[in-house]
Amino acid sequence: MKAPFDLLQTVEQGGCSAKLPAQLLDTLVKGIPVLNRKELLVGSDTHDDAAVWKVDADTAIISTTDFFPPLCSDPFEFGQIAAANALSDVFAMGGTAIMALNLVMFPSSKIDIAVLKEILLGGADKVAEAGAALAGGHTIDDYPPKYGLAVTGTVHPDRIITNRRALPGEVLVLAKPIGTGTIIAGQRIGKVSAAHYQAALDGMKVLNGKGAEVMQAHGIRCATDITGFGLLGHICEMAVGSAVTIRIAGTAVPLLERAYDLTDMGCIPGASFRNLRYVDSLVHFSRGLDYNLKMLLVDAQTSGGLLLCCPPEQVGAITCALQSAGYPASAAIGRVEQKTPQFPAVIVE
Amino acid sequence: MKRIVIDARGTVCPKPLILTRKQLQETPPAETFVLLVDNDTSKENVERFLSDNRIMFQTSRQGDTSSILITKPLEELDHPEAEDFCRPAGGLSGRHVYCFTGDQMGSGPAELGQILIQACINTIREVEPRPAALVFYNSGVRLTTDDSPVLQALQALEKSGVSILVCGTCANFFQIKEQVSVGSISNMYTILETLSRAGHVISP
Repeated sequence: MKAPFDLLQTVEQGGCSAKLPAQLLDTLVKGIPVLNRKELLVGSDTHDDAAVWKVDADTAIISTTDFFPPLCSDPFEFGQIAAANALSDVFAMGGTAIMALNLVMFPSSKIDIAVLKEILLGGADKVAEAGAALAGGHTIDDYPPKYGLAVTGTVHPDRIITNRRALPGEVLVLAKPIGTGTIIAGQRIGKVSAAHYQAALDGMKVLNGKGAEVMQAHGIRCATDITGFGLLGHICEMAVGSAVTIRIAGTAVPLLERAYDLTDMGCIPGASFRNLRYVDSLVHFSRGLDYNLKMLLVDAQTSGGLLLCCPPEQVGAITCALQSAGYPASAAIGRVEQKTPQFPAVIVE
Repeated sequence: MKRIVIDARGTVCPKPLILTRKQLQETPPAETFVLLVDNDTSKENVERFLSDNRIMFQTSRQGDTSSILITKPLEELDHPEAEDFCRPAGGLSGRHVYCFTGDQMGSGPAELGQILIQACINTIREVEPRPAALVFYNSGVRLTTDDSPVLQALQALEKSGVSILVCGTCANFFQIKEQVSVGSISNMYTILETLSRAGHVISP
């Protein structure tokens, strides 16, 4: 039998690490004309996870897309992770996924087409788990391969969850541990055991759909999901969008096993430095903060967890609900404070 | 004595940083080693790691190869703030901080003010003890851009372990954020904290 094809040999950086830098995106979209219609409830101006369009009093459509180059060797697993990551934007808005289209770039002359079949089967597996219909797609011959989805979801217009409604006094809860970028980089240089690596991959495959259900059941109105800009990048967007200051307890943030040791070795992916430059002017790092922890807080995540804001009296109930819904690492990691002019958007202690 | 040279050419992130971290553990305090890298991203990331950890370094370049001379600090890594805890009450022994609020020194003809501020920044590195930090705000941020006449002096100070803070709001206001070529873009909180922890503040 032929040795299985290793997708990782096609790329230098995979997953959400391959995103363009946030700073570059900001300058890029500036000056591109947008047609604002009153039905467009969430557009591109707030760096939110997905666009939302109001159809009628009871229904709004959520639209989002995401794709990236391979971040693991196994094609089926790559398909699962890319799909979970793309679906996540719908869940971060509090929605239900109804339909998905495949986005595929694949070099049919260079790699056996059976590899693509595995990728698509992996993606279909997660779309089915989300209860959505896989309804077609688009395929381009290109190298290295890339895969993702365009996803459509629905939500009640009064129950949209955005990243710009954080209220002073609320507590932030993170549902998945961080460190996927570091673990992937560590695995590529042979410094991660098979078990730790598999644990990271399994975490990326976990859909955020159950988390969205927990959020709706508890009336949450502000959340996002953590992906390529790292935990702090997404917290900055939330703080700026909500005009608040967010204070994070660095040591409370759940980490993937082995991620801290790798960072301490100097295994810090390039994407972390890129994210650090983006958040520099918005974040104050307290003097006692452990350097390794600081760098993990900007580690680019692929298919990361939901980050939600809830009233302090709900923290216990929501954390428990998330833990029993399949996010055992869920933890409170910080709080929202009144914005005062002299404070930066985010403070890390 | 033969200097230790770590050749990280041909490798990409995070390998050069891993090699640096490993060598820092093996090198005795106050001794030096050289790291060779051949891509700008690795060079910038290693430099950022070193300045964030207040480790002294000096970079020179030949063709594609950057060679970074790194000095292992006296105190242990991860405890770079020891002096903050050991500082006697009153804070008088805290190191000084320079605060540049404009791109000229003193009030008078602009041409003279610019000559003076250049001379001032070029002289800082000759004066012992070195400051803990240089803070730039309002039109002072113009001194940190890629076309600044004092860019080299500022880069040399940064490499000797002086932290350089550039007001992000100001750089945005003047629309020169992309041109800032030294130090880190900072915010009011960090700037005020740096000023308030300083032994004394010099405002040229």
